[in-house]
Amino acid sequence: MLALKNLRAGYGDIEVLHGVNLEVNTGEVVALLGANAAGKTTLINCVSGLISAVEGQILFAGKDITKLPAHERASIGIIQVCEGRNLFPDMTVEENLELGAYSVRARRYLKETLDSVYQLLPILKERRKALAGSLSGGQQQMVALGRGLMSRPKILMLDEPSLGLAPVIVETVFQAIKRIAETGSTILLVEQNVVKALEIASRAYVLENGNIVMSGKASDLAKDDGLRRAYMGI
Amino acid sequence: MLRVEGLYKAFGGLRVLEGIDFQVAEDEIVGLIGPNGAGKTTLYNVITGYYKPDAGHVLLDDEDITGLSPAQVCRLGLCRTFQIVKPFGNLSVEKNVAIGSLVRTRSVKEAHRAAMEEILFLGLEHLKDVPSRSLTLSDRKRLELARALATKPRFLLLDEVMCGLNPTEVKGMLDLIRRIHDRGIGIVVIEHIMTAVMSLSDRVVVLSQGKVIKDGTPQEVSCDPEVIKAYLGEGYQHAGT
Amino acid sequence: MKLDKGKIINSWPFVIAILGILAISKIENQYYLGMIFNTLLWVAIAGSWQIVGGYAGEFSLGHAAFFGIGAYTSTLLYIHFSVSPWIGMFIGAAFAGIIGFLLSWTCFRLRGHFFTLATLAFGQVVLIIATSWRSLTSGSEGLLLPIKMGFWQMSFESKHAYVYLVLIYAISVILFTYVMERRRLGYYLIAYRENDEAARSLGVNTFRARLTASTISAFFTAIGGTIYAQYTFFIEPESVLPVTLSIQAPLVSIVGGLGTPFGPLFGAVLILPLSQFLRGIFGSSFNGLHLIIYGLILIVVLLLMPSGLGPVILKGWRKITGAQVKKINASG
Repeated sequence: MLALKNLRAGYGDIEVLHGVNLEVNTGEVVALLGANAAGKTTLINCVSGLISAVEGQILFAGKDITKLPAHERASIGIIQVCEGRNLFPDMTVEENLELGAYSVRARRYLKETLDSVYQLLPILKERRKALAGSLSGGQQQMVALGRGLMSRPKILMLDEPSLGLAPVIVETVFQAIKRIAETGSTILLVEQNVVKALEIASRAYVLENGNIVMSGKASDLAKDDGLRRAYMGI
Repeated sequence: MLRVEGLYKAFGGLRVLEGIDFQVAEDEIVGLIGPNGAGKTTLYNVITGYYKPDAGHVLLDDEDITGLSPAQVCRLGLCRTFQIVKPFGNLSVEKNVAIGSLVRTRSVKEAHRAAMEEILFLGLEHLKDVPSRSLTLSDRKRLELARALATKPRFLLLDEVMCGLNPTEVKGMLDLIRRIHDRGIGIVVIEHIMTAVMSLSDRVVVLSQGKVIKDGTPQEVSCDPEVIKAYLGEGYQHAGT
Repeated sequence: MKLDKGKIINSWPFVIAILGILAISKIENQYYLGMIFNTLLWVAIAGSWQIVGGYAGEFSLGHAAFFGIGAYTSTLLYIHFSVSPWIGMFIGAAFAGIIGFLLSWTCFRLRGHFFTLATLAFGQVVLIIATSWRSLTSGSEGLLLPIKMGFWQMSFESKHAYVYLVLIYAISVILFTYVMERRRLGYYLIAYRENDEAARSLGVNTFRARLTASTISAFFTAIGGTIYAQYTFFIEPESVLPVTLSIQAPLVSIVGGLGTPFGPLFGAVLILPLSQFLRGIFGSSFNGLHLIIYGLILIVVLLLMPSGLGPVILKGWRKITGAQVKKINASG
């Protein structure tokens, strides 16, 4: 569904991605791993359209969307759940979720989508009248996931959902992501928590300093010393 | 010898450094690594006087320099660079570096002469009159190094100096750091490019959640279970174990 | 031959100064002399402001306070204790310097807009003190200076003497700025202006540099206050302490070229005669029109010549004379 061909992107005169090739097929969970400053967030931002590609192509459902502006990418179903959750703290959980269905395409099905999100993530239904800012980190992450789902994404890109969360809560969040994956969603998961990411992904890529240095089945990578080497340098 | 003993630093309720002990000798390059938010830059800020620690000491050759201002720390021979480079944008490269030299001499003329030495060392002489805001990132990083070297430091604390550089530039930077070290300057390197840090460092100190979880050779550190857990998460079983 | 031409290009300030002095001695028209006095006074005030506002990058909108402190100190010492204004001038300047030092010390943690607001408040406070402390300053009624001519009284029959006096003042400020720019203090102030954190990491005691700049700037500004008092023989809060004075100082500097020694010269020469002219035409009918014109000039300059009039003119001058140098060298 999503294919990146020789993608180069960066900020101003700093090139962060030096020619990345990556694929996500329909219904897959693909993990994007790598150390800090490897370029993971830059890659997702590039797919979302927040950063322009300097060179290379982004193909979505067969179409070249490299030049498409960000808001249009969201309309066609490329949805990013940003690092750090970014909820509207003074609005209720339900209001945050409703805002997720902003696009015309999603708004038509708002009630249905909301119901399915509540089914998938029951804690959101429980706390739906609570102010988003009053929720714990883990619960906020659930709201962020739910909000992403409200836009009826074709591909859901999650940027470090475990960031800043206690290990027990991380477990809960990943259970939720697993349930979302089981409904057949296509997910690109950027994560620093390698172990957890490889548990739920079918395939994974390792990004190092703007280059893909490893790729393959998640189960293979988990046993490969090359993964440790990719992170530790030697 | 630059030594840090029992450093604690919290910002309000957020505890960033929780008892840091480590040291660098002038003949060493020490890598300082750790996941994001581990406290590495805060450690630099405390050592160089931008923050006062809540407890603990910073010692330079057994002299307690805890709590001295950044300017005083620089005069004593400790200089740092910044993760996001901070050139004096409207000034030429030469003037930028001369300001560094002025900590060692009152004479502006002498400062310019000394500055040119560092500019030559860093290979920036063809840019000496260019306003620093027009430089590419790679050159700005070199400028920041030249400026720091102009203060004639005994210890140089580098903060992600390779961040944003392409592979060729990273190689160039590695060479540069080695050449700086050859001048007898002790170097601490915060870096995320692991291959670079591991090949450069004599010793590596790993920070995680405000504590030192390992202090050893690159080999020791890269296979240490606690370090691997910090980077990859709990439960990673790799081919080596 | 080659060396001579190079020296000629850079000697333009001396040429202008000498021509200026000769011209002044020839002019008899009192109105023009007054305009020249005003212009040169502002060269010096803007130049003094620049030390803090241009080089250190701290945008003060309260410098009228120092001008007024200078004027009131020397005048009060003169009226009540018959202290010669020459001595009173330096006492006033020293006093202003101390106030400038204290201001910088207390506002140390303030950055950017907050610093500017603090100086604005400071300027207003001094104005209010001068207006209210009637037993000392006679408030809004102002103070009349004794009309007793003589060198020691810094009171002269002819305007020429005042013009030469203010010329020396202006030249001193420009000279100081020129030298400071090339010495460590200048470098350190600019480093602070460009990036405080980086400057400190390189051993620059930015706190001390700022204090020094503030003290010197206040000192120099206050001298203008005394000279003005001696020229007009009358001072009142609204003439030596108004916020419009505080605004005109940065205006002249920016238009002429912020952070350059000769910027205030170019700025003053453009703005002062213009303002006097406008006031002459519209003064009573449209009070404040000159401020509108100032605003427009500022906008135009910042859009077209952001580095100021001075650098643009000097670059042009160097291009023209540089081209001539090349021609001579090629053929000669």
